[in-house]
Amino acid sequence: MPPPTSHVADWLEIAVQVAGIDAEAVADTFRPHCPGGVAIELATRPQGDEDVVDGDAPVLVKGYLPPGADSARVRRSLRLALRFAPLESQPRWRRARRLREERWRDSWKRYFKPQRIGERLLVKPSWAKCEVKAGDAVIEIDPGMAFGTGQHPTTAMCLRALESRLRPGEAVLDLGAGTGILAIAAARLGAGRVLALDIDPLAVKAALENAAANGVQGEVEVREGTLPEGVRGQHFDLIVANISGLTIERLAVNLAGALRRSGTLIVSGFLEDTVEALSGGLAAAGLKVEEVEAEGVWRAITATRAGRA
Amino acid sequence: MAKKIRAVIKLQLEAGKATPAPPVGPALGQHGANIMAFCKEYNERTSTQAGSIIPAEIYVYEDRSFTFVLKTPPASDLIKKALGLDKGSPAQVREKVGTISRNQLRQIAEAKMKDLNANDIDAAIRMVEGTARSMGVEVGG
Repeated sequence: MPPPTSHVADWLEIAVQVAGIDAEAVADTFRPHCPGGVAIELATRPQGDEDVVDGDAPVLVKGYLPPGADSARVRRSLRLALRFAPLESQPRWRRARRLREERWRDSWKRYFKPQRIGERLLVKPSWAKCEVKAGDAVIEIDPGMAFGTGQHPTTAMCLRALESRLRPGEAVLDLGAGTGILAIAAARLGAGRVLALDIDPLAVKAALENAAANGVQGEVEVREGTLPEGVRGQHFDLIVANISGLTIERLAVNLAGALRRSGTLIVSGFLEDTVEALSGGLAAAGLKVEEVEAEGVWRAITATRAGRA
Repeated sequence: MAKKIRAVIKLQLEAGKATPAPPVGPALGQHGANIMAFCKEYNERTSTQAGSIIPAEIYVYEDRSFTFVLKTPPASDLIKKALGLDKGSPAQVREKVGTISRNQLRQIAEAKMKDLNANDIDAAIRMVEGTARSMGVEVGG
């Protein structure tokens, strides 16, 4: 079954084929005329048993025009500009393509397949069917324009940490919820109440829809916001945040402040080069780093807040 | 056996600010790469360079996985920064917008050396100088 789609206005992709050596100059000519940006697509050729970039082959320079742009006028200006540019060879114009937004936005969804994570978690796209075993905690996700399908190493590490750390009945905060996948997983794993915060309204919408689709809208509250104001003075047994390393470092004191004594913090979304500074920041905020997990280039940290119960 | 490459795409993006909107969305989405995953990794790897344009060269493989390398900011971006020029379209510039010193040119050429197709630093300086002139920036002594 194809992923669900909804129609939005069309972008236009204009493209010209040029010699590899001219690519940057042509891209620089395109940029001021293309509000949606410019992409250079290089050619490759096989070398031994791997593919390498072919510097001699022609390349495509693509420009993106938003819906409603006067594409004929833009192409006229570009033709003129390219005629006077000192290029190696004549550029060859390709036919412009109308890009239905949902086509590129959703194309990768064909590769979003059901996936088992940890002991019991089963993450599946909302449009796919798959076999469910007794005891599975199923999470259905329609990512929309938000982050978090469980395929990404950072999400998978957070899900596994949640599964091993969360005890039934605990209060959980998911900071930077994206699709809401971690908040929904927390509810499935028996959390008492879950608050999901995100500063992106598109993510809030996706998380609300996903929580409802999973039937956990009663346990999972979704709001636009961040720390410290977003939690409105509440405290949590467990906080999970899959966001950028800089943001975690900046919010370390607030994260610690929103945790109950002996509470657990699970953070991910950063690379190896951030781990040391981040661990220092968390320690300075009164948290004890217990575990650093690695998957590919990504890292996750589990820390606890000291305290007598 | 190495993975087969489906596409190699070069994009100029603002550090820490990649979004699924064009050009990222259509350029990568057409080849089935996970757009949100790319944005997250690009933004994380460039998070300390806010305010700069950091080009990325992205390799999308046949299994739709991707890797990418970051490049140095375009010479025009570095020249604007060095002179404190406003953003804006350099393409329309006809009159002089500023003067750059030999020393500043050399610094930019050194920063860009590894990405430029230049044999030595003097060739790199000449390339940056060409970019400066095309932007309406004069080269001082």
